[in-house]
Amino acid sequence: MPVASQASELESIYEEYLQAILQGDRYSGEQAVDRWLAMEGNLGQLYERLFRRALYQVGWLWENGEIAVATEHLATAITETMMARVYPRLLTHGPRRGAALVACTTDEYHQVGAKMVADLFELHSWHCHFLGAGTRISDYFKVLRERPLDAVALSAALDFHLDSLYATVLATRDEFPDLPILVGGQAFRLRGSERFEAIPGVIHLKSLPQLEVWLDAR
Amino acid sequence: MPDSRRDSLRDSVRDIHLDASLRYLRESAHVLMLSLDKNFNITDANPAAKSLLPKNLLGRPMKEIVVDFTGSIDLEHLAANVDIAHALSVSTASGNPETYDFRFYPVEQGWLAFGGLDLNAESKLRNEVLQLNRELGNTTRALHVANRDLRTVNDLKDLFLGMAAHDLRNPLGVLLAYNQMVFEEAELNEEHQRYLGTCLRVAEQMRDLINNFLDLAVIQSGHLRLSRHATPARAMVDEVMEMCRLKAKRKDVCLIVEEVSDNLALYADESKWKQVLLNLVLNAIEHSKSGQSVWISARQSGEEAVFSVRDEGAGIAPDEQKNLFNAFSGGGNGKTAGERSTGLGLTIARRIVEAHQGRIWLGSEPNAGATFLFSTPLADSVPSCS
Repeated sequence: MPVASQASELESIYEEYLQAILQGDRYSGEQAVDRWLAMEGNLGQLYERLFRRALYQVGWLWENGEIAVATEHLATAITETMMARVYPRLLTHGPRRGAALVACTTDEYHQVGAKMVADLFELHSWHCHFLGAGTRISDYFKVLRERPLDAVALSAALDFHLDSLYATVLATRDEFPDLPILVGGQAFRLRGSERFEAIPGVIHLKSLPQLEVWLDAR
Repeated sequence: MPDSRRDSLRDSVRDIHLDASLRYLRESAHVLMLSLDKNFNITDANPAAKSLLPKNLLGRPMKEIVVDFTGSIDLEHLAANVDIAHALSVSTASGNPETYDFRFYPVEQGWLAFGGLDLNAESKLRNEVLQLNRELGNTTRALHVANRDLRTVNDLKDLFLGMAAHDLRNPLGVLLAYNQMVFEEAELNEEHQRYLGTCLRVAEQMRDLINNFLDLAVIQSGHLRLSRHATPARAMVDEVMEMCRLKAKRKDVCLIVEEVSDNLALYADESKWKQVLLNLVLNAIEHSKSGQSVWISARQSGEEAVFSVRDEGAGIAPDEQKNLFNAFSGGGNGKTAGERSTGLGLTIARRIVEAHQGRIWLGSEPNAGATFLFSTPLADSVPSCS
């Protein structure tokens, strides 16, 4: 298929997927994902160009009062289900390239972004410990202390969780001076990441492709 | 401003507020609003009620749409106190009942009933469902990872087992050959012969175990290659009988070929199919007591050749039957002369039979001897073969 034609087809599938999750129509969502994968097998692209893009659009619609929070929650839940469907495909069987801990901050109940990050670690042959929404700080440090890790990734979706994220990053850096810390999430859209990046070894990832570049370089 | 004018103005404002509230309830609110006559028949309903509740609402008694399994709901009694909300489940157009908090207000023609949702409960429910969904997703994710890791470990185990067995087999073969030679040719006293005989038996058991491990490793790795062609059943049965005769004789077990259909030819890898038959006949002998018999048959059934091996041993207990064909499932229980079992023979047999697109099953009742049956397509039923 010519590149332009494929791009147009993928755009059309994206629109179908967006409408499906807004309508709470899981079945149509599944069909859209299957059609996307039949055309574009790269799972990183699926996460970035379909899942991430659609959920950012859903978030925008909610912020602008065009959909209710319940609709936003349902669309997110459906996307998490879609991710669970494709997850076995992205698990690799070769030797591990590293181990990472991916977590949300305390009180952050939006875990889908962190889960996308965790899935991309797995896709790049990393072993990933994923702590979901509302991770307790004690659980987070328990894993940090007990498991040998090569990186930690922390996500925040809402900007009022950035202070809590910042405190977690500082505490992590204090105890593990050499551990790379990746931060990211929708919360950084409105407030800058400068204070985070001023901490040695902390990297703000603006997108999933940027994470893939970072992973490829390891 | 005079008091009368102020009162009039306040009344006007109140009327405007009431009109706006009533208009909102009648036209837009997600609240069920039902006008009822004095007998609690529905005379009017707002759009929310009309879209949610069953069709043909007007004129029906409200009691008809209230879910009341025990017939104990008395609307008149509920309506007597306007300060209390009553949780009533009502039928909906979708068929699922929904629970609303109803309040009844007396009006001139009868009652106005308002049904609202408990928003706190709804919100809590939604958050709980979302949380459960997140946890389910995370657990599923963890299970996928665990499965992947288990598969990896299992593959490594098979690889290790295969390599270990392969490297053990050759030295063991040398050991067996020289032991056998000394046993047969050296002039040994009775005691030394007994010791050497024990060594030989143990070494043979080790060889069998290693061969089973190797067979299983090959099967598990997906590298079992079959060379299938038209194979006469009669010659195969005769050959296996010959191989088992000495062992049967030592235990005083009678081998009986019950029936082998004339010209019966199966589409099979001769060596592998013989391995299955040999395994089952030796198994039957090991489970038989002195004076008992083992029956073997091979007959046509539809487009299949069905082999059967039957013994008169203790049979297989019901709780053992379920896992009989799984590795190390304890199928070796009940051998009558203390013969050792690797616990792999039936697993290997099943895998070989299934690789032939056949099946293997236990055809006997519990505790009444054991009959094993196994089948494969006939040579005639395979176009390229016939």
